[in-house]
Amino acid sequence: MDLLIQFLSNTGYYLMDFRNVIMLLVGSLFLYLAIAKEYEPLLLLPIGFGVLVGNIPFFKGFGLGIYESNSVLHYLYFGVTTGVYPSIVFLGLGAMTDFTSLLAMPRLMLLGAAAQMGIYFTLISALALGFLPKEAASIAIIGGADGPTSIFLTAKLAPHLIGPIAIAAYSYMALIPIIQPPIMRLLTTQKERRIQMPDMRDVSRTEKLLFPAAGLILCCFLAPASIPLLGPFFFGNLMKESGVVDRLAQTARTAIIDTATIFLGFTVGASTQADVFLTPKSVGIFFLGAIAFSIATASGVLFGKIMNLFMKQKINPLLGAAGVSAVPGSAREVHQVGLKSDPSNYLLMHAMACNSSGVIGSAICAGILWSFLV
Amino acid sequence: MPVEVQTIESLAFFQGLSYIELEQFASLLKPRSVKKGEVLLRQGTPAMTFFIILSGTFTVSLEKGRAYTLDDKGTVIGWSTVIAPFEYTGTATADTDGEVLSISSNDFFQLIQSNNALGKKIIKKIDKIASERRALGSK
Amino acid sequence: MYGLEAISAQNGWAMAIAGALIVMAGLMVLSLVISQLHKVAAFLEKRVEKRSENKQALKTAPKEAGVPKPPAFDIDEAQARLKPLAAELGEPFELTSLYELANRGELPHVHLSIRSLRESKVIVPAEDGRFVWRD
Repeated sequence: MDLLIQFLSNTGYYLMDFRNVIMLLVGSLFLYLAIAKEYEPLLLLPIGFGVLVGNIPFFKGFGLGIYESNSVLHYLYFGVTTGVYPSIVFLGLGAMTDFTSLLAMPRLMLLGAAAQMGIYFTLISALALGFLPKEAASIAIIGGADGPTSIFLTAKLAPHLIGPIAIAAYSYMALIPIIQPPIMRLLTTQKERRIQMPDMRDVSRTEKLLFPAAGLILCCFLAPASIPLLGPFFFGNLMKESGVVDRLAQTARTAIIDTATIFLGFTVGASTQADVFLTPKSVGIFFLGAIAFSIATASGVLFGKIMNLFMKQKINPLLGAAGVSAVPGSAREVHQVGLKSDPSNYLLMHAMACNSSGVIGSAICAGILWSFLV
Repeated sequence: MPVEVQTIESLAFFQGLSYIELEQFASLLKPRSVKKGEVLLRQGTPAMTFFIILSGTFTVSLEKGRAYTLDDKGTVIGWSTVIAPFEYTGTATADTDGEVLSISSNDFFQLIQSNNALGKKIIKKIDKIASERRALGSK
Repeated sequence: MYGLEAISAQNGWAMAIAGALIVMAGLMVLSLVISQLHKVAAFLEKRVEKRSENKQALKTAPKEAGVPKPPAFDIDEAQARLKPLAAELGEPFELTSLYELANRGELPHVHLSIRSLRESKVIVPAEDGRFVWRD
């Protein structure tokens, strides 16, 4: 009888409180968004299920929880806390990105840079709301719209906020179709939205081979703290473009990135427990995340308009919104808004260029913030 | 079951693509059997997937009672996935059992991200089809 | 601490402005470099092309001095060189013996010479598969 009572008192049913229920509902919501609505399923499904797993109540000391040093989940979480998974994801991203559009029209890189202003605006806003500098920087990087970058920087600066920041970042990435179009339409005229971009020139294989080397040296010399992200990124891209290690490039952009994504999402979700997530800070993080995305979109679009004041060949300012590095979501939104204004205006390839530069820009920003606050 | 390059290389939409490009496309296409009466896509819903007919006959019903039939192998249904208005403009129903290939818009855009040259070719094809459709619509 | 006071106390303005300027400058430089990449690529491709052209030219070029060029074929000269050898062998002689003698003497175009002399009926078959010299 005592044995039975002891067993029952160790079950999740006995140990549960209302906060576990709320988190289980949050996890279920993510699963619903991923499966039924197909909002970023590659990210929300692992995170959602991780939230469910991480919020099942258990008796502490059994080595079960993600924060207990000898648990399986803790070993898997190692890749998040040390920044290994984001590096691996960037390796795969580099191996699946084609920079031809960017190489054909390098001035689009400036729109990717401009979209990173959302990060710095959010940094100031987070400080104003009372967050500590390292916390503020981790929240600000949400504006880079890059999940792995957000997780990487947060793991270095404010590991206790990984859960809410990751969930905020990925949630807003999934909500790009709702956040961006109104801002794009608000800040541009119909005439501007109809600006047709010129055809892109052909880019030689040699240029595509030189780019990863040039990018690595220029970006990492400027912000060495971004080496863990941009090093693998350009390495993956060189593997893709060299054509002599197709097997490795293929593995990097399929099995390797998928494995890292699974464990990253699952363990981040599992780390998002009620006592960290259900706090006023999380509300602040979600609020600031929305600001970050909105300002990033707006600053990209506005910079496009500013560029048009000085350039003979106008660029479509909608492309600035694609500088938000939610790949390929923001490029797709720019393409859609452009087509709705003019059914013959295909902005997709140019938007892809801005998207790719946004990835580089957000990684550089992470490196800059880390070096400011180390 | 993965789709073979041989299945798609003869289809009109894929003409002009190199073997590697066909391979990349084929790896993302998903074959799907369709039963008579099955609705493939509904008018007004967000366009997230487009389909390529391999076999069978399909009726696309538009507003005001208009409809047309598609049965040519290689015909694409669901172009609104990549062109305005980005929601299905008709409801496609299978008149007979058949088979289609499907690709989601996520996969499609990711394919373009990883191969810009392929993206350029596809955009040109899409533009041509969209112009034909606009011309048909204005008649 | 909240508001503008908090931002100033934590060096927020400096971080934001410096960070924004650094990332803009960095990507501007990268875009400038990329815009010139096609020139570097063209230069490298030209060098590679030139190198492979030189290699091709070397392959088809005549051999260096020290390796003597074989002389042009002249049937009268061939006749003059081979006749003494045939006489040495005596008549009738075996063609294989004439070949061997000519090769040992490092005469040029041995095979061509003997074949031409046969075709012009200077060397004619005799009995038992052997040959004789006709002037």
